[in-house]
Order: sequence, then C-alpha cells, then structure tokens
Amino acid sequence: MRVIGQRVRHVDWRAVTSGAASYADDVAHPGALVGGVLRSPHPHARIVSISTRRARAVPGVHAVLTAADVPDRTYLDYRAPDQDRRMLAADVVRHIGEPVALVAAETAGALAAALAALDVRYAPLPAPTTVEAALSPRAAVLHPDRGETNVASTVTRVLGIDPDQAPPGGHRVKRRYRSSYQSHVTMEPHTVVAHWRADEQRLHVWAPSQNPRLIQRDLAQLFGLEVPAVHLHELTVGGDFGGRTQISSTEALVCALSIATGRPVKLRQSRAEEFAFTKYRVPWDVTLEAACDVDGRVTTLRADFDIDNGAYNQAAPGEMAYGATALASSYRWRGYRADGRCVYTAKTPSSSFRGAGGYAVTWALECAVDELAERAGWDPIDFRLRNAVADPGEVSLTGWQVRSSALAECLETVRREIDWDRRRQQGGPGTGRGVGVACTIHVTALARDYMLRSSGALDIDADGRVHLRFGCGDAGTGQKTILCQAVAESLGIDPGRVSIEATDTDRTPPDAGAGASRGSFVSVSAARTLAADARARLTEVAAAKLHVPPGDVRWDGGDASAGPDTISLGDLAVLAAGDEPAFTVESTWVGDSHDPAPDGHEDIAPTYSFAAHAVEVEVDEATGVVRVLRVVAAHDSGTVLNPLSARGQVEGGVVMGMGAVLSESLVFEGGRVVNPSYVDYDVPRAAESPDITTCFLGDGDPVGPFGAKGLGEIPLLAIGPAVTNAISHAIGVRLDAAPHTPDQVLAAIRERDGRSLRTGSVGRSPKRWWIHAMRWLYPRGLHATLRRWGPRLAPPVPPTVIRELAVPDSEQDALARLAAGARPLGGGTDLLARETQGLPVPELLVDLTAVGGLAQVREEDGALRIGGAVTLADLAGHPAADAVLRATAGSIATPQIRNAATVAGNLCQAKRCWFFRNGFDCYKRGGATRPCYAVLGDHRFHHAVDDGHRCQAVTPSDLATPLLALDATVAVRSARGDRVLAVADLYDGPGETVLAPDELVTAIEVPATARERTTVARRLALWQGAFAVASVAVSARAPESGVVADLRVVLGGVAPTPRRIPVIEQALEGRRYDARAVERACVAWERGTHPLAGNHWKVFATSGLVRAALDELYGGAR
Amino acid sequence: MRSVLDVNGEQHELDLRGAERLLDVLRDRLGLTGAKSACRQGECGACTVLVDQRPVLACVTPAAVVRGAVTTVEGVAEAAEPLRQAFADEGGFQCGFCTPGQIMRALALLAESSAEEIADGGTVRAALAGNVCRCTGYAGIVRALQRCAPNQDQEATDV
Repeated sequence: MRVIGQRVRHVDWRAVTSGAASYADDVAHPGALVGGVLRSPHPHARIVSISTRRARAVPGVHAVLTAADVPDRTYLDYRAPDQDRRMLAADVVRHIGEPVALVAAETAGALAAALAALDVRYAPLPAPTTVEAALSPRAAVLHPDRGETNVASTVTRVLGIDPDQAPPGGHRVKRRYRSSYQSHVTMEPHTVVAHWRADEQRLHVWAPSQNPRLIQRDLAQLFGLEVPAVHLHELTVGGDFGGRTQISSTEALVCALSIATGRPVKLRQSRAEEFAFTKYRVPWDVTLEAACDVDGRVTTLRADFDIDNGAYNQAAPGEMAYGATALASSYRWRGYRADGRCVYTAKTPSSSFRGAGGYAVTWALECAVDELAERAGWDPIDFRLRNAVADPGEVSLTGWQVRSSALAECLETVRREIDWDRRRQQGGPGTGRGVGVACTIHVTALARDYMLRSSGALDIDADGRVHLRFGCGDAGTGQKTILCQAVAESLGIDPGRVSIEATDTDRTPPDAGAGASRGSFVSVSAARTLAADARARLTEVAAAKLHVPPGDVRWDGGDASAGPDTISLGDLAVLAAGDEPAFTVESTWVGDSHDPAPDGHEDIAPTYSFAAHAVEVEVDEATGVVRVLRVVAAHDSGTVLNPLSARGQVEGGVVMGMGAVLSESLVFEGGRVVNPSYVDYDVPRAAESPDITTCFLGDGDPVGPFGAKGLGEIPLLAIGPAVTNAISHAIGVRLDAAPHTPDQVLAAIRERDGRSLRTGSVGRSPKRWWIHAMRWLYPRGLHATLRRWGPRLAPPVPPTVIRELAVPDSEQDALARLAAGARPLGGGTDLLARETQGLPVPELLVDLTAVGGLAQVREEDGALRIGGAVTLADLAGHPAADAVLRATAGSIATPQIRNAATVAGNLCQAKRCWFFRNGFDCYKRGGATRPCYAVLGDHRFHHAVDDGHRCQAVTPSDLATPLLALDATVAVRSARGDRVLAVADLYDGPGETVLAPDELVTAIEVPATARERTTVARRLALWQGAFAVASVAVSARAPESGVVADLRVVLGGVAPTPRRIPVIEQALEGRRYDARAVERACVAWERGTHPLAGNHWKVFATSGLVRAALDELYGGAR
Repeated sequence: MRSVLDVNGEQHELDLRGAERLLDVLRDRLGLTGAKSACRQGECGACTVLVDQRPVLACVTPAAVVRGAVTTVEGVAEAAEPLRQAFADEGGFQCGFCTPGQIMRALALLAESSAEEIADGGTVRAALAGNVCRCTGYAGIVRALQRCAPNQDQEATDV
C-alpha cells in the first residue's frame, strides 16, 4: 500500500496552525443577536410563576422565551424508551442549571440586564443529589410520571454458570469500585449560532459536533421541520470526546431564539457553564466479585452496580446495558451475573464520553483481575495471558467473536519495554516506585444498522483533483485525513490531490459520525467502496474511449491506459461527467447488523481491537502525590491507516485516561458543581504528562478496510487501571475510588502502616471552643438555616464592572488617584479572573505597572529590595534575588501568568476557596448572614487545618511563605504617608490584608541578616503551577554545622494567614539536627492543629513537607 | 480612554472602555480571531499572545496597560512556518483550538532557550504548563518543539 500506513499530515494543518481555522465563535454573522439562558438555581423545585414583563421591557431585547413559547417535545437523545428531556423546564426543575428561560438581545449588556430582570418564583423540593440519597425509600421522586422510584432503568445479565452456585475452592476477591465524574473539557467552549431564514423556511446552524447528522435530526424533530430544512454548516470543531456527539441543550435553545426573532443568534457558553452544565462521564459504583480456580483460571464474575444518571436520560441507560455485557467479554469466564440500576439524581445528566460504556467497567475489572492474580500467586501479565479472550476465532461468554488479535504480543511487548520483571521486583512499598499493567478488548463500531452505514460522495474535476464529501464530521481525530488516504490509495493517486469536507448537511450524504470507534472501520469502508465505484465507472468510460474491453484497462497513478494510449484522470472525469459540471459518484456502504439481544449474548461488533498498557509511577509516601513516569502502550488496531494520527490518538487517550484516575472529577455540593474551572478541576497539563512509548502490533484484520480496526477509545480503557495497579504495587494497598488524589493515597499509606488518619485537638483556647461549637452546629441546622434565610435577610451582592482604568504619569499621580477612590492594579491576572467569576471588583483602577520606580529589584547594604510592580518572571530571573525567592517565584502559576503578575499582586491576591470563587453565595461573598460552604462541603485541599474561623479559606500567596521566613517587610505608601509592615503583619484574614484602600505596596525588603541564613521552600500542589495546598519555608543560620540555629519554620496554606510554627522551631533550636527530633516536633504540631472533618490528611502531608524541607536544609550536615 | 495598540506591526488607535481585555480587542475589534477565548480567567493559555516577545494571556490583560508590541498567531504565519510544519508532522495538534496559543508559547520558548534546554523533555513540559491541550497528551507538541532544533529528520507527506 502506498498511501495507507503513511504519515500523512492532518488535512487542515495550514488553517489550524495559522489561526485561520474557523470555529463557531470565529464565524462573523452580521446583525447577530446574543443569546443567553436563565438557569435553575435549585436542584429540584416547582416553578410557581415566571414573569417576563420586566425582561421584555429592557431596551435592546428581541425575545424572551419560556417553556410556553417553544415546542412541547422531548429530545430524541439516545434510545426511544428513555426520552424524558425537554428544551425548557415548564413546571419542575430537576437540576441546578436546567434551562428555564431564554433571551436574545442586541448587546451583552442588554442580555445581562434582561436575564437579571426575569422574575421566576420557585418552590424548592427535596433534592436527591447523590445516588445513595436517590435510592433512599424516603427520597423525593424526580420523575413520578416514569415510575415510583428514582431508578430510571435496570439491567440483568446471567450467562454460563451462576456465580453464586459456583463450586468452592480456588481464589476469590470482592471489592467496590467507584469511578470519577470526568468532564470532557473540550478546549472550545460550546458556542452555537443559528439563523432561521423565514424566506427559505430553513434553519441554518453552526454547531460544533463530531456527529452533525444527529444534531440535524434532533433539531428537525424538535421544531417540527423536515430534516433537510435544517442546514448544518461546515465548521472546525474544537474537540468533542463524545460530549457533543448528541445534541446538548445549547443547539435547540439558540434555534428557538432565532426562530422567534428571525435574526442570527449566537449563544456562547462560559467555561464555568461548560464544566457545570454539560455532560460528564457516566459514573459507576460497581461491586465486583471475581474468582479463579487453583490453577489460576478465571471461573466466575459477579457484578452489582448503580450508575449516576443525573436528572434526565441521555446515554447512561444504554451505556449501562453495554457495560453490563462488556464486563464479561474480556476474560474466559465460565459464569457471570450482573444486576445494575441506572439512578436519577438531581444533577446535570451524565452521558457519552470517549470509551463510553467500557471505560469504568474496564477500570474496575482490570483492578479486580490484578488483585485476583495476586491472590492466586500469579504474575499480573502471566495471569492475563492465561485468561484473556485473545485467540482469533475465540468467542467470549457474552458472544463476542475475535476475528484478529495480537493481545498476547501486546502483553509481551509491554513486559519487555517497561522492563517489567526488574521493576516489579525493585518497586513496592517503601521504594516509592511501582509498575502496573492492564489490558482490554474493545468494540470497533457496534453491529447496529444506524452505525454500520455510511455514505460518501466524490467529485473529480478536469484537473484530476478529487474532492470528497462525507457527513461524518471530524473533531480533530484525523478522520478526514484517513478518508482522503483511503480514496487516494484506492485510486492510486497522491493524497495531495484529494480534498474533503465533512459537515455541511446540504453538501454531504449522511454518516453516523464518530462514535464507538467506528470511523476507521465504517467511514473508511465507505470511502474505499466509493473509490471502487468511481474506478468502475471510469473504467467503463476509459474502455469506451480506448476501444478495448473494460478488462484491458490498466490503471497507474490515477491514469487509465490500454496499450500505448493513456487518458488522465481529469480527462476521464470530463468525459464521464458529460453535461454535468463535474464527475460525481455517491455510494453507501452497509455492514451486517442485528438488533440488540435481550440477554446480552451477541457478537456486538464487526470486529474488536486489543490493547495492553504498562505504567511506572512514583509515589511520594510523605505527601501522597503520584507521578506517572512512563507509559508503554501496545495496541492491536489492525492496520494502522496513518501512524501520525494513530500515535496521537494513543498519546492523547493515555493522558485523558490518566486524568480520570489521578486528578479529574467534578465535585458537587448540594447538586452544584464546586470546581468549574481549569484551576480547580485538574486536567493533566504538559508538566504532568508522562513519557509514552506507543507500539502498534498485529497483521491486519480480515474484515476491516485495509485491515483496520477502531482506535479512538481503547487507549483510555487500558491506561486507567494500569495506573491504579501501579500505585497498588508501589504502596501495597489496592485503591478503588477514582481519582487517586494525594489525600486518598496518603490515607491508604497511613492505614497500611497502622497510623491514625485523624489528628488535632480542640485544646484550651476559648476561640477554638467557639469554632468547634459552630462546626458542630453546621450539620445540625445552622448551615441550612443560613442558606435558606441568609438571602432574605440581606440580598446577594451584585457583580460590579470595572468602569475606568487610569494609567498614571507619576507615582504622585497614582497616589492621588488612589486617594480619590481608585484601587491599585498590578498584572491584573487575578482581578480580571475575579470579574469573570462574578466577584465584586473595583470600579476605578490605577495601573501601577506604569510607575517606573516600582518595578526594580536592587541590593542595598546586603538587603534586597523588590519593587511591588516587579513581575514574578523578573524576580525568578533576577541574579540579585535569593535563590529561594527565585525558585518560588518561578514555581508560581504558569509562565504566562508570571510574565504579568506582580510581587505585590501575589501577596495581596484574594483567597482561592473554590466555593467563594465559583459562585457560591458564601460568608465572604454574600456577608455575615451566609454559611461557609467549606465546613460541610469538600475542603480537602484549599482550606485551613488550623485556626479557621467563620471562613475556612487560606491566604493563597506562595511568595508570602519564604518572605516570612526571611523576616521580610512590606513598604506601604499612600498620599497620607509611608509605613513599613512585617510580612507577618500584612494579613488579617485569608487573602485579606490590613492595607487601607488607598495604600499601595511599593516594595518588599529582605534584611541582610536574614539573607545570611540558608532558606529552603517546598510546596504541595495538585498540578505544577496550581495554588499550593500547603507551602513550607525553613530558614536557619549555618545549617552545615549540623546544629540548629536561628530556625524559622513557616507554613502557608494551612491557616488563614501564613505563620511561623514555634512548636517546631523551639523543639529543634540549639540542638544537633536529628530526624527523630524533627518527627517528634512535627507530630507535636500535628496534635495542636484543628482540621476540618475532611482535611486531616493535609496536616500529615504538611508535616511531610516540613520534614523534606528540613532534610534538604540540613542534608549537607549529615 | 484613547490608546494606540501595536499589533503585528500595525498601529491601531482605539477608544478603550475600562479594563477592556486585550483578547476582546483583538477578536472583536480587530478581527484577529486566532487567539481563542476558552476560560476568560487566565487558566488555559488558549489566548496566549506575545507582548514584546513575552507570552501573556490576552484574556486577563487589560488592553489599556499594554505598552509593548503585540504579536498574534496571524502575525507569525511565515516566521513560524518551520514550527507549524513540525506541529503537523509530529502530531502537535488534533482539534487545533489550543494551537494558536501553543504556537505563540512555543515561539517564545524557542527564542529564549538553549538547544540543551529544548532537548530536555522535562524542561519543555514544565515550560508548557500554561497551555492546556485536551487532545494530544502533549507528546506531539513537545516533539514539534524539539524538532525545531537544527538537523532534524524529514517531514511527513503533505496532503
């Protein structure tokens, strides 16, 4: 093959890398209105009334729509019996963020004013926001019309012998696994433009999706239009991963606004909405009981699971049915039973996500199999080789028939490439290292009629250029490129002569888009068929022209010849086109399909792919931080159509799957997402991405086009359990709840060592007793009372906008403006973030970076003076600055932030509590009548473990910690005069300073005496550049002597303000440095803390940081 | 406030409102849609542009405080040709939404780093921490950057 198997560039590379590619928000639509959605603030409530009168009266508003104004139809979504979702809530809202009303307006300002003027009255109802609560016999039923409980659907599978009746003996493991709430986080926030053209009676839509036809079909149905009356336009798609493969809520809402106004309307979703109100991966809570006989052969598998559906049915019921089958399809089980429930909860619905149905079950199963192997005394790779469904011709208990498989080769390859035997032996508890493995089978498409059907069209012009038209979409996977390759290969031409469009529904024939890893099989089959049809037609034309029988026509480089005569492809196309403008062929490929088997026993896909991954991890036993060092990914996806895009699918899938087990999960509080931002939801970044070795094995599949099988999803399936198994090897404890954040890992390590997971004490301080009493009262009604009555006692603080930004011409000018009411602006990186977050911001600002003298670093008599407007990047690179300050400044946030953010801005930035930042109307946002959401909510990372007060947040400045250890002072100036503060005295609350509104920080000064000491800093962050969970700085005189002298131990992120820790300092001061004394001092400090219920781990992790920092400081002395 | 903004070598006289963001000025007023709006709070890097050759986040930069020369991806299409090809040849992008930001970040990094620093995967990865990519797993981006050191291997076939 000449083109298949070649590294061909992504067809859109020029447009993408030049910034010219047009995404939904980049398309200009003259006269477009801006659309907006009013969303439910309640997880479950009856809508008492909606008044749109005031909103309609806002100047510039063109439409205000409620459920009464839009068609009363349910979305088609995934499966007919499940349909329960409407465009706008009419009587009842069932999750926070459910669309209630819509506005289209001339400007963003008018839109905001109209949304604020909509008057909706709700009667809140009890809201079961977790699966556990929803299954309680007393739970409010979310859909009383669909049943008496919150169980949306169930599944049962019984295949082979009954696991409960299995003969005794052998080995058995049982464990409950809980997968994470992973968000798709497409880089492009969902933006849709719609334009209803009354003159054409057509709806024009620009909507990013990997499956434009499904969007078209659902929109037509919702608005009672014929399918061709909905026209989806060509568009570059900024990622999908299954999140946009079916209609979300945005598309129909913006169409409704355009139909109501007759104008083009654009609706942009903010990043916070993207996280909080779009689909997320279906979370599984699955208990597996797996058994094998004494010879290490698997026998039976028992599975019980509940999956979190959210408030409406989208993909979850179908995913459950699929997953229930997939569970028993990868090993040679002799008996299997599964019972599952898909449960409604008052949250945004979960839905399809790359690897759908297979992701969570494979993770749980591969962890269980690993544990079973260990129990039976087998090496994890050997156990898999012995038991996996892997032989061509083999049929799984569930009916899946293997057509080609290189799984054994994959397992042997990862064993060799990761140096398994040696690392397995060298790693383990106490070494900080571990290796793990996992393998899997995965479907290539599903054997359903809608999925095994693809049409394409091909045009050839007079120059012999081939243009393809497919309706499959391409969200970046390289789908378009491999279709071009398939046609180029089949026609024997250079791929540079083939172009493609893949979305426009007027111009392309139908295709079921990306899903179930079908693209490289189904759409490529269609492309090959299309090229063959074109070749057959052109052969006839050539034969007629050359006066030979068709069988005598030879093809070379796209040209036809017979004897000495040759006709070029372009000339043939002209001949074949006749009176038409171009030669065009359209054809449809249809595979063998069948209806779902009721018992789950069926050959569910045309063929199956295989993969094995091995992973090496490093675990810091002192903090619980896990780092993936290396991944070896071996895949059998048949023939690799394009090694460039195939490798990208594996590498991207590995990192995305790693995220799902290590760091990514939406956190909910009362049904509201707590972490809807890139800072708080930890998508893996480059710094966390491991070294990945990708290997493709296998000779090609007998049924796949060119021998190809699916690839897009399977990398995610194998990586997750391989990571979990590697951590288990490293720490000697099996983890079973994803993601494995440091709190979980550290708790597992301490439990392993028989050490307590709790610490702290109330002590004798009356203030602590008061705080303790408050915390006790929170779950006993105080939280609910404040939450319910607080807003009635005092209205929420409205967001403000920055009206004026002054650039001063001198320091005097700046001080005068501050005195007149303006507030200082440093880099602006936090201030503008706060504006986006809807937090109050000053209306008048004065740009301090314009004041020359404030941006200098200089040494004077041994002291270091850092101007307030010095950027973190400049401090990090300044030769005069102390190493610890350079290192700390260089570790804060990201390079781009460091180029703008200033030292004074870093010290004075507001708290990073995720409730405060992300829209919770808390004590610090709404005032004294509001609760602190951290007390009962998730406070594992960024809240105080000591001396928290009404607000549990901490001061986020990482720079303050070493500055405090260096006895630094802050020079402050206002029109009223100068003053100098110790850094220790700068704060009077979490991220709150004692500075008066008109004061500015002119400089930070580190005294010469402190600079003679040695200072070391350490931080614990969830990703490199994240705000520190805890930071430590230790500073002492002449540590090389081995005797502790003039010691400072400073902690940041553990108490509302950074502080020195006298209990540790005094225990060590004046003595010879001794690790045991440090350990004792740290434990003494731990016992004196006052953590919240869920952040005791942070006390221990901070202790770990202190020990590591002191070890570094005194390392040279030993 | 009236202000003059130098973008890709062109001077633009603008009447800026309050803390109007550089990103909005570029996209909405100047029609330069290469820099993307993906978070509007300085957390993802999709809006990365250069100000006096240093990468900054246009979404949290008030346009009024920009005193240097702004360079966007549209301004480097030719200068960055080898880097763009390297992104294409090494799988440095898939959906492409983060790519303009990645390219601008990468250009600054290549300009300010030694060959040894670029050869070190760990250093490059750390330097890219401000640019989130959800598609590639970063490996292709790192390779693309490293390929832009001299004497690298041949390109893939161009479609």
